[in-house]
Amino acid sequence: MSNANGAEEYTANIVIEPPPAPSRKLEVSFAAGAVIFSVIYLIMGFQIELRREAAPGQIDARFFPILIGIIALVTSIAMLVFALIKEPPTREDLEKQQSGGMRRVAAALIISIAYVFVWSLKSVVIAGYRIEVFPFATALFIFGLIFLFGQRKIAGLIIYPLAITAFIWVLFGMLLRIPL
Amino acid sequence: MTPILEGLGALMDWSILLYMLVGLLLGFLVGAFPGITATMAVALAAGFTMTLEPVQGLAVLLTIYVAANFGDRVPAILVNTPGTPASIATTLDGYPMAKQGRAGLALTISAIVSAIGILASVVLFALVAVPVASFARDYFKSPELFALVVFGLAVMIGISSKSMLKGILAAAIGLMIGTVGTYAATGDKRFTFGILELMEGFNFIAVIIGLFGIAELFDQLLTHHQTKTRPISSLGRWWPNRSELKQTKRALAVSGGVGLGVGLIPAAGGDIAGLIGWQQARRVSKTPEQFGKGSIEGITASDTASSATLGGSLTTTMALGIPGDSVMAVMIGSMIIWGIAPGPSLFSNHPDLVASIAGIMVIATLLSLGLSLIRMRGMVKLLDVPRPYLWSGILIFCIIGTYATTNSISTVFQMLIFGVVGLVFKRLSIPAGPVVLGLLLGPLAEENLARTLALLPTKPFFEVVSPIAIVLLALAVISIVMPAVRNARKPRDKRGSLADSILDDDTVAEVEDSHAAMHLLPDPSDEVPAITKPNNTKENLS
Repeated sequence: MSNANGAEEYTANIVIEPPPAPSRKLEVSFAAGAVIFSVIYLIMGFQIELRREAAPGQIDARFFPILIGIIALVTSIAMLVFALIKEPPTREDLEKQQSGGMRRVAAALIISIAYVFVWSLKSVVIAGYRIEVFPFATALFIFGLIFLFGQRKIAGLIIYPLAITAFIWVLFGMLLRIPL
Repeated sequence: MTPILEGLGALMDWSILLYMLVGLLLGFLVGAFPGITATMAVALAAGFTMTLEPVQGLAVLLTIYVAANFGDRVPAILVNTPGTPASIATTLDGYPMAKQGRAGLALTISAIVSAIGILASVVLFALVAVPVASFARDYFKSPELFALVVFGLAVMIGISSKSMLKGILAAAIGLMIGTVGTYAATGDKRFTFGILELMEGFNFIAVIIGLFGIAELFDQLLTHHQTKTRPISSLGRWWPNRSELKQTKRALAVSGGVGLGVGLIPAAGGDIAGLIGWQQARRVSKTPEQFGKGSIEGITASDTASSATLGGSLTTTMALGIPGDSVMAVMIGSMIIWGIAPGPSLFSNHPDLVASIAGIMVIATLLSLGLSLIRMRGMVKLLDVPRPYLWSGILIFCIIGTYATTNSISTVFQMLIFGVVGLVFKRLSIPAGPVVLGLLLGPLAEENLARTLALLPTKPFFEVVSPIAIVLLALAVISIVMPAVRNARKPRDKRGSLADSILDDDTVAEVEDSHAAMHLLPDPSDEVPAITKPNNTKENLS
């Protein structure tokens, strides 16, 4: 691109969005969750079954997890106290969650899990022919993803999934011999 | 044949150059896309390099590391968004230069000084790595190694989170994840819940791809919105003239020194070095008032300092086994899978590796510089790649990359689970760095703690715990306490961002003022500044 004076221009998307607001509720919930998690971990640490007791001066399989559990518990209790008595911290390092964002994440996760389940079938027999599942599942997976992410042009929806699937199949399946 | 010739000889293979070209392309791409970090790219590539020879694998990973360092300057200068955290300081003067119609000049200077910074750091690596490793091998026994691990974790906690408690909790979570599986010393099972796949613990690659790759992707999905488009700059001329090159000398020297020093501190990376280097160069500059307003010295300082950390990070990683930054934490994981254990004994067992690593870094830097200068105009167009293609590409490659490490679907599920965990952590401002470091160093800490505790009853305390160990533990405490005290003394609204925690208040205020004033200026695409020359000049054809 050039402007009237001949200098090149570059066009970019500028995001000017306020960061998410500080939230005491979020901080307290997280700290409380961390306390519960630490307690569960610590209890489980004490319950680790030992095949052999440690000799005097040695540590067994329980020692380190219990030590970490105590550190995590003390830290999370301190976090809970600070979350209750102090102002919540700013969240200026984060971008604000957008409407539909959670739906996009959940859908992408569900599609990914479904894809991995289908892929794990490896091959199916249809009309007496053994057909590899991977290329079909992968092309459909990518199609589903780019459709979910907002791509509506037919050419992109078809060519891109086929190209990426072929690339992965050739490079990883055939050249690197990864059992896809 | 000497180890140096052996190491360099290992690079005399066409396959190495091919792998480096792959790394170069990948590194530039991830650097140029804001939100995709070098750590994520190296984590993703680690999945695919498992089947390669160590030198081939290192060629890919180190080239990504170097090339991302060049690519990340493009969005930092053009859209005021760091491509990776290492280019945070680049935005201070890079974007103002772009606003003034000097983006091309900023990109070229950035590429040249980045190359100088990296090459200087490689010299440091070549000179220092072996003596440091020899010292550590001779003097670092179990207590010192345990203290070193604690120090590494403490530094990472101290610098990666604005809340010290969240940083400590993140490291504890990493250590907890590291306890899953069989305890090596006795064969006892811990937290396996009878699941066969957990007997060997969580897959390291799956965890890091989940925490760094999938979590970043999910965060982008969560926060993405349609944005208004507006032209932000004219790129202007590309080559600096003699007087502009002369301006870079002082900043180059000062910030280069800063970068080399910061790089040697475990867990401190280019983001911190860039800001400190910029601050120090400003102090010694004859025109400090220009900093933050589009200063050539400013962009030189930030990019030299952040680039000069690479060799230092490499030194602590390879010589001590303590990752210099989060990219190196991922790289250690890959090296362990190849059967190479970074640490004091690495260079006595593989002395040729120093030469190979230094050679790869030099070639990768020269290739990156060449590509930066030749294809900069093409690179800026990378920012226009539609997000649906980018996101779906990243997701499928994360999945295939993770699967490739074990050929097991369960590893892919682990990665997706840690992706969700990583997203939750990100939204709660829990840093992923200490989690990964805790996971990586946990077994090392446990092993050396066990040995130390076994030795203590048999010998006097100070015979077992040397002054080195005590100093390292004291430094670890200082690393956590000092930032916490410093942060607590600041007003609440001044705490938080990395820049605010490193640059002093006056500097931050000055930069904010100059940027605010800059936003009021007419856009250069409407009014081309005097410094911008027409497209058909000699400089613009470069």
